[in-house]
Amino acid sequence: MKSPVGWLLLSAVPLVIGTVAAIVLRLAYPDVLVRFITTPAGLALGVGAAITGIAVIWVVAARRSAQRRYALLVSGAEQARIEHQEFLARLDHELKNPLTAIRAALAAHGTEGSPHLEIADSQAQRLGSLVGDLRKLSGLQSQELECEPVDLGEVVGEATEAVNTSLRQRGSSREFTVDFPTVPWRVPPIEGDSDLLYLAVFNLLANAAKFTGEGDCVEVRAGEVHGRVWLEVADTGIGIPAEDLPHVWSELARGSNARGISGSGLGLPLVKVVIERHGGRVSVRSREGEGTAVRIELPVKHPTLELHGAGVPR
Amino acid sequence: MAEPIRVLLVDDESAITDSLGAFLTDAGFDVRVADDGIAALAATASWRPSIIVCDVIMPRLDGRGVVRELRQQGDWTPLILLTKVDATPERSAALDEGADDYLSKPFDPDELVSRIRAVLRRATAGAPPLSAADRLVAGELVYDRRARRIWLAGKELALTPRALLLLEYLMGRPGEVHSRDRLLSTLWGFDFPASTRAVDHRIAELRRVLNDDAGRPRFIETVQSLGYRFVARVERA
Repeated sequence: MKSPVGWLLLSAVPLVIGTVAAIVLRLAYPDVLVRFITTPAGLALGVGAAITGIAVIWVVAARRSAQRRYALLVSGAEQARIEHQEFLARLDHELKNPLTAIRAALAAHGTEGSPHLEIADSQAQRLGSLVGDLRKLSGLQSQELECEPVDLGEVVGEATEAVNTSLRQRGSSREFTVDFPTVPWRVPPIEGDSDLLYLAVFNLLANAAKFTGEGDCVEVRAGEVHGRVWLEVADTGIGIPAEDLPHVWSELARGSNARGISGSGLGLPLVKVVIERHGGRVSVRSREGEGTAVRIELPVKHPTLELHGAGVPR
Repeated sequence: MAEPIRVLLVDDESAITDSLGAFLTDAGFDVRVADDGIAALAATASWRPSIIVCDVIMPRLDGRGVVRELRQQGDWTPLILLTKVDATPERSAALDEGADDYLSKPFDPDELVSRIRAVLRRATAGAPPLSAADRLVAGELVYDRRARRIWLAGKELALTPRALLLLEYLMGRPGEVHSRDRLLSTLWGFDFPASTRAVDHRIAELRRVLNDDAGRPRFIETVQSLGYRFVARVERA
């Protein structure tokens, strides 16, 4: 699009020179009538006007087609997202009834005393919760957000407390450290659904707890930049193999080094859905064997400078 | 028990009615099966079941249609919907249309039995349940279900939509203990473990707005390690 704009400027050059020359002449020889209507001047004016006209049409057409291409791209992505949603819904629909029947049949028969039937029952339960989780995830895509000002520091504090409690219950002596800026001002509140944001933050922290061992450390840090709040959960855990990194945000994807660690492969996709529904974005950096840092960014309604001294309204 | 509880099981898939029917019979219920909504209405009229357990997506007349039809006829036979769709608007719609409870497939068959018993404990024969009343009164607290507005001692109060839904649910089922998990999956639409904090937050909001002391509750009581209960006496107005 640069070149048509360049042509437009170029075509303006003779017009500008002509106008300036006319003004100079008029000032220098006030009693001479400056004639614009000479053959060469008329010709120059005509050519200049024609080039300007062509350039304007070119610019407008280029803009239009760029917009169309962009709209096509967006609708393509939207289309793919909708199809994926519909696929999840169909999968859910088709698996639900057979699973209900299997569980009812096993319950009617009774599984006690038969190790085989007990396995069938526990696996039917497992499939059931998988179907349920997929459904919940696709439900989140359309779930109505109940927005209010949310203090991310508070959400992180509560989620950290919950994860620390479950770590203690499992006999671990680990604690998460949280570095949430409060000086010189707090991270500003964001506009969002506090229940869903808590769920996302909790998932990030629970993931970090899951993929780290006793000697590892986990850091939760946050800050504000260019009207966005970022939150990063970094750990020195097992890390994600490079070939698995592109898939971490997809449903049911699990790291090849995560076998043996229980999980559904739905934690990070859930984080992604929640954050994107809030107009934010997610990213991950990781090295296998060294650790992982997952980062979320959310738009702020009122950047700190407008709020300082007022604290965080609730 | 003198007479067994009569359960009408409605689903168009025989794999489900066969297995679930056998299970419910073993659990001591008298079970009959209908395979679509029209058959369910006919069986309800002729057999007078104690409770109906009904699938949603069925040929001829679906589960929601069954609820609507029955309630329009003034028939308040308790009904549990086996909903297919788990989105929140669907769920509140199911509760709005006069289903007494819902359970989403696939479920633990034992859970269905305990839901059946819970709904029957709550139900008063032939009368609409409190949860279907247009206006509920608990002492100074008045709740208009149609307009979704509440007043305390004549003064209108403002609540977030989720807190309002929670209050409606609790007031419509006074005296019962509701677990956080259950409230979450019924009212929020996302019952991820660890998200029960959401329920506690809304309860805190309700207590703040209703000026209710958790230590000596007038309205909402915390039942240790179990959940919440609406303790005030509720009447329809």
